[in-house]
Amino acid sequence: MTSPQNNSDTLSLFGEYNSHDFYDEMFDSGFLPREHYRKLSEQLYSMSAKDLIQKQQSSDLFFINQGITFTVYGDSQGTEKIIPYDLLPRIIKNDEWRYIERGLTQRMQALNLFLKDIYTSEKIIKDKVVPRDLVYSCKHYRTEMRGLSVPKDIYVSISGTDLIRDKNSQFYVLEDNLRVPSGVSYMLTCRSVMKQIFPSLFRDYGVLPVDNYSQVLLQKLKELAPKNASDDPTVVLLSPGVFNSAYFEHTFLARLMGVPLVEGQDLVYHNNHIFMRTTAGLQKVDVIYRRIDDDYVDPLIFRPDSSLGVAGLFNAYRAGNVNLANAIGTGVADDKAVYAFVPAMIKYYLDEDPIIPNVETFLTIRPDHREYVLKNLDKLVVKAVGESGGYGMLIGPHSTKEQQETFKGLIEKNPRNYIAQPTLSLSTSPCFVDGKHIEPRHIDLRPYILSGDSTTIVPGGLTRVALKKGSLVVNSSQGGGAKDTWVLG
Amino acid sequence: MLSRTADSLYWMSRYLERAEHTARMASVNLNFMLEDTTSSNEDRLARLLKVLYCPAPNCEPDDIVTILTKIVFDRTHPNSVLSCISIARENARQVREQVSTELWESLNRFFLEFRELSVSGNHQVLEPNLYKRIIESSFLLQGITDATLSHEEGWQFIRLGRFLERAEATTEMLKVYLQAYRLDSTADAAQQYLEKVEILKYTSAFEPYCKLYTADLRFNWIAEFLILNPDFPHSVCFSIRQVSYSLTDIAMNSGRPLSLALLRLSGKIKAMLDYSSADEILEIGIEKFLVDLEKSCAAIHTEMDELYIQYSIGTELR
Repeated sequence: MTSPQNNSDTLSLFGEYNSHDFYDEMFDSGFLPREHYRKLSEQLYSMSAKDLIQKQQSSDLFFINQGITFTVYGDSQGTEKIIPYDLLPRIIKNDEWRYIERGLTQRMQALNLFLKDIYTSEKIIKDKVVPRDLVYSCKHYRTEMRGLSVPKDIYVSISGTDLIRDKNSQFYVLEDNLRVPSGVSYMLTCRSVMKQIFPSLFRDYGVLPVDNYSQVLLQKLKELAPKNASDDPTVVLLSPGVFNSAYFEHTFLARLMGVPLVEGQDLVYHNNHIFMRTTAGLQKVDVIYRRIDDDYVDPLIFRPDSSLGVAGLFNAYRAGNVNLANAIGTGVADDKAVYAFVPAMIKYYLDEDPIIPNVETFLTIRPDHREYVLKNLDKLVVKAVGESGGYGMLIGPHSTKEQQETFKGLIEKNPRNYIAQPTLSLSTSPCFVDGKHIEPRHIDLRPYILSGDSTTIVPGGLTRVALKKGSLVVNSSQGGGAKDTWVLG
Repeated sequence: MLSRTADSLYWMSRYLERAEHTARMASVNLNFMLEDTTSSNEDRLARLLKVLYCPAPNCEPDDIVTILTKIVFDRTHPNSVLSCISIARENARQVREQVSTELWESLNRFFLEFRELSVSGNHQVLEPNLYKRIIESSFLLQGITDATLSHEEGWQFIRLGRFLERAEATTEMLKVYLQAYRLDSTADAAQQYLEKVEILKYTSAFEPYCKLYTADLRFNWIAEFLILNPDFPHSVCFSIRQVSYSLTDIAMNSGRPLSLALLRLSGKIKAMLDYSSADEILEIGIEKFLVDLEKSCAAIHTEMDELYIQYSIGTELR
């Protein structure tokens, strides 16, 4: 094999690779590949841009043919797009993964306990660890859930937690997604593509499999079945329908689990039970993996104008005859201001120190924090607490004076609605861009955590990439892409 | 199977059949307008619009391009070929996890290509190739459906949709054209010959007819062939038999038996087609026979829909 110095093609592939002072997943500060990236770098040194373009084309074709697409809201052209996808895998060492796994398991335990607590005895509020106002003012707090017990005390069955890595290679939790996290279909399809385009590399690396995700998910969902359900409970996936941006994922998961993909109109409430309309008549449903938000689940209880859910569903849920994954009201625990208290929750409920730290967070509702935030809008990232998908954000260093003024006004008007964090130095990973070069791009990591009788995290996740040079926003709705994530055995 | 899934598969298939039928009707008319002498283009186009349930566009009654464009590409007309394909695709998309990847990809491609065509100018509606492509795509999709889906409940609903649509289409075509042409006794022999050929071609029946009856074209034989022949796949009898088989299989697969009303309806219409002779039909009056057929088809749809798809929850829970 040729050394990089002698191969002009390779030189041009990595031409201007410079991750500045960010932590780069592949190269150390001396531009030497890290141990666990060596095989990949060797492979890349032996390839030309043309080879990579070819691989890119064959993977694009895979996505087009399978119709693996998402919808971008606010784009009038519209409708279906292929997810931007980068060919080069992100590789995670086994010990790093074990650390992530322990940290996330601990975090999910604490968050589940927190949800149970605030909807039942409110000990953590009475002990003044988390301010009462903060919880009650959260727009995802559901008074309807108070005093209601959920099976096995599992509020969050499926979560996708976003992790980032800073300059010193330390992982941080950026946010928890405890409502309806999406993207897992990309984790699974990216993997099938990678196996096709880098078969021998994949084999040589001994990557831990993620393919059993759907099986584990089905198992956790079945564990949620009400006590009076049969041994083989009926599980369905409730989708808002074909116009939802994640519709592909819904059909994908339903197909892999072999469960019916239903819409609100397929379900009927009667006598505290939920039934689905089948050609053989009404069939009782035991567990609903719902991919619609709380607001739309039941027009009788939540938004009356919604036709996506089922009238009466909440009654059946309250009666314990049908179960939902995730439970209603979990959004209160992934509120970006409540997020700041997760380390305290871990300490409070588990009497442990958090394994993976939080990102430093300023609450604009606190006067001292607010003052600091307003003075430093050009350095901080400001986020609306109840938003997701990268909407409602100000990235200080990349913003104009005008935008900063707008946010200043917004914060002063409604301080509860915002938080601020230091601008993060997300780690970078090599990406093949413009069909020419390999350049560093910022990434994060979203592993999917499945909780039931036990907690399972399939080794991997969705590595999201900000494909625009210098950008820190990785959301697919904002021009982000995906990478396959290889966890080594 | 979810009722909505069954419904989507059923309509996907009906709309594909409708697209094919519409394309064939338009294509045969286009072809005859080249040689027709007495029947004016105006009458011909009016009949075409009528048989396809298409409201007349705002244009001269003999404006071929505008009328065919409406029939083929007008998205505001729910039965235009483009609308049919688009609705079929939308139905498939809504049950994406239930149709095979091969079927989805092919239908999706058919739609995308055809939509592309629709924006590239109108005059192609005078190109016979356009219609040929639509019809061939429909054949392809039927082949893929039969070859890649398990022939269980979902497939039975697809078959039911296709043949119920076909039975209705053939009946309606006969109703409109037999009336128009048989009454026109002033037509000379050559003209009458062309009219008979035309009726046969609307269901691709010309060659199969000749094989059975020779090229001796007679109205009562044509009626017999298109209504009562048990072997020709576009005849009403053939289609209704398929409908009846599908219903029986759906009942078996779903575990929900056919209602008395549905059994009676499908049994009666099948027996009527199996055991009637052409002479008998002509004696009662073919008009009335065809109207009864149409009513029965519509009733089968309604009963089926009430039994498997939109059943009342009240009765279900009782």
